[in-house]
Amino acid sequence: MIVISGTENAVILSVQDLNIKFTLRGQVLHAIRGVSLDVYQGESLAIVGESGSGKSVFVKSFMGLLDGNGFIDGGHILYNNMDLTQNRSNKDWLKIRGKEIAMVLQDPMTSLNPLKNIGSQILEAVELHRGLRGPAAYQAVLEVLRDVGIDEPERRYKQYPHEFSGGMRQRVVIAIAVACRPKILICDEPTTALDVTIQAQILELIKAMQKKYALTTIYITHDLGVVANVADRIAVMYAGDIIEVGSCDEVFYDPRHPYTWALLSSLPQLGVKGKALYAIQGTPPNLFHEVRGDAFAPRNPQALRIDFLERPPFFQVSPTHKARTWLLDPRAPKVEPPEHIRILREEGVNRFGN
Amino acid sequence: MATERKKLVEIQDLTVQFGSRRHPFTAVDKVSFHIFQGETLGLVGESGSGKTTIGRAIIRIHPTAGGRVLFDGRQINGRISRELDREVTRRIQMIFQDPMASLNERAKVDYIVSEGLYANNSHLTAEERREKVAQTLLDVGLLPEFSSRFPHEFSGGQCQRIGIARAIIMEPDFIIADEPISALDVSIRAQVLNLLADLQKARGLTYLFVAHDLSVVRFICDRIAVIHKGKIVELAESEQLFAHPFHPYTRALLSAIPQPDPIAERKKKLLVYDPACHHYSPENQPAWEEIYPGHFVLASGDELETYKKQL
Repeated sequence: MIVISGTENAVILSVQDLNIKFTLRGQVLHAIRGVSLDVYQGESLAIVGESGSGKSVFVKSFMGLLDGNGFIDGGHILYNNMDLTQNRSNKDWLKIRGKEIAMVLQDPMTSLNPLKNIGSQILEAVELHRGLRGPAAYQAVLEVLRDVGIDEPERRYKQYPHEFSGGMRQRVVIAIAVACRPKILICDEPTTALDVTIQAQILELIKAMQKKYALTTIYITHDLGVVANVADRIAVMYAGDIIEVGSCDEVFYDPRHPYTWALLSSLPQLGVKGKALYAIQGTPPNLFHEVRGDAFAPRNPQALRIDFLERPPFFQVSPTHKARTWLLDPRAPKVEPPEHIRILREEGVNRFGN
Repeated sequence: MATERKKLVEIQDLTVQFGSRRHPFTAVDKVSFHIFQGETLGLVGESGSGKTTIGRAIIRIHPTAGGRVLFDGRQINGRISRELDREVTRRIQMIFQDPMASLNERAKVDYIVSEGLYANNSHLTAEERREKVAQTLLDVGLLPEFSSRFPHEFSGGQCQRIGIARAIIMEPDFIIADEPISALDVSIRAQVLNLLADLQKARGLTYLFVAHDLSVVRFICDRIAVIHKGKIVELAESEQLFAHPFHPYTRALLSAIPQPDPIAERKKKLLVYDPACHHYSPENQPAWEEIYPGHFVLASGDELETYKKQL
């Protein structure tokens, strides 16, 4: 029914049964609860979820950027025949950070050093990771500045972050990230702090960079509109677990997990004026306690009894689409998705027909 | 149709300037619009366009450099009497963008919510005041027990509800909501939007909704004003604006809205607004024209002709 964009590519990063915990005031918070995910070479993957769902913690563990009280408690992150969970010292991580995996953070103002001009901040990355020196390094900086769409790079090189607008600053951050020629680029809410028009431009830029440098990109966001634009595949995260993975079209037009339904239904873009918008009741579970069954069950009005008892396994919907919900079990009763989702599905089917 | 509706707020040639007198910077440049009683007007623009400044000028935070702000028929900018100031302080309230930052972290919810009452209705007894706080907290979907807690104990969505409680406890007529949901999560956004809509229905409130996210504005607002560099470039009813945007800046803004629809996103063409496309000259200056009943656009004579053909 739905065309699957073929991702026959090799797996570049493979996460297997990853568990991450934090110790806080004598208690243990189980932030990532046994997540497995493969990232394919050259794709762009989006990880979607509410704040506190663990999406940032999950990707930070790829770069060894967990806070001091966080630790990996079982599982593997396989990259390039290395298990990143075995990295202990900063020295080990320095081989990965920047050079192999780079990151673009949410707020460009806080991720740049206000006391150094932007040229020297990019130069630092170029010298460290590409081993260039002197005029060669300078030329490399100018080239990357031109790449990210900053005019007059020679003049801009000497300017400080406060002389740039928000969108321009984010371009500089992207320049620093791609200057190291990484294999994987992680964008953590890259456009949340920006205006709509600038947001669209930055997304276009990241897509262009991906093509030019053959990057694999991982987006973290809570904005499903952004996701529809950039992602090949989407992973939906809730309470420290990935609950649905599929291609972009599959997740938007044929979502299967009740949480994905709820997330899509609460978008104002899909709301009908004058009617109340669909709002998810309650709050995410407290991860200090052990979560039993389906973590979303307490907020799901249509939850089955088994949802409270046993954690659902992944059910395969198509070769690229799987969801962790008991609704897909052959024994489950038929639960119709909410109206919005049915409309989306029909729209999707109709347009694929054309 | 709109003629018999009461205009609660009228803004005429409002100008706001910052900086020194010798080097003034005009943040809002001769803006005129009005807000009908009971409606929600959306004010949309990018950061730095002056949308927040307009809100703040109405509520008398920023002094105005020119023009008039009329509230319920009376001028409220410039020098006004103390009684009118008091009345305006009560009847116009504001909700802020960042719920965490806008609450006093060292005060309890009880004080945060009732601070306006202390300042304005000093004749209330402690008991009456407490009752009022409890009732208001219930109205915004919080529990009265919360009044003895501190802001850091709440989530972002709950903090924004406290911010809303603080505004509605004064029983205002007009609320300026300055990006009230930009800092919130998707699922919480829906809850806060629903709450604002419910309160409007129950209390007959009028909103000025300042935002940069057009998709949200379309959902909640009756009319939308698009502002660019301190000038309103287009104003129309929401659906009319989305169906027939005229001004190139409005078009660029609409083209940039992210859609939760992969197929539409793939076909999307981004428009970029270049102010040079207007070819304005001293003889060909833009004016504020009504192109269609209720649909205003900033256009020069020849532009108006082209827009009319598109209609």
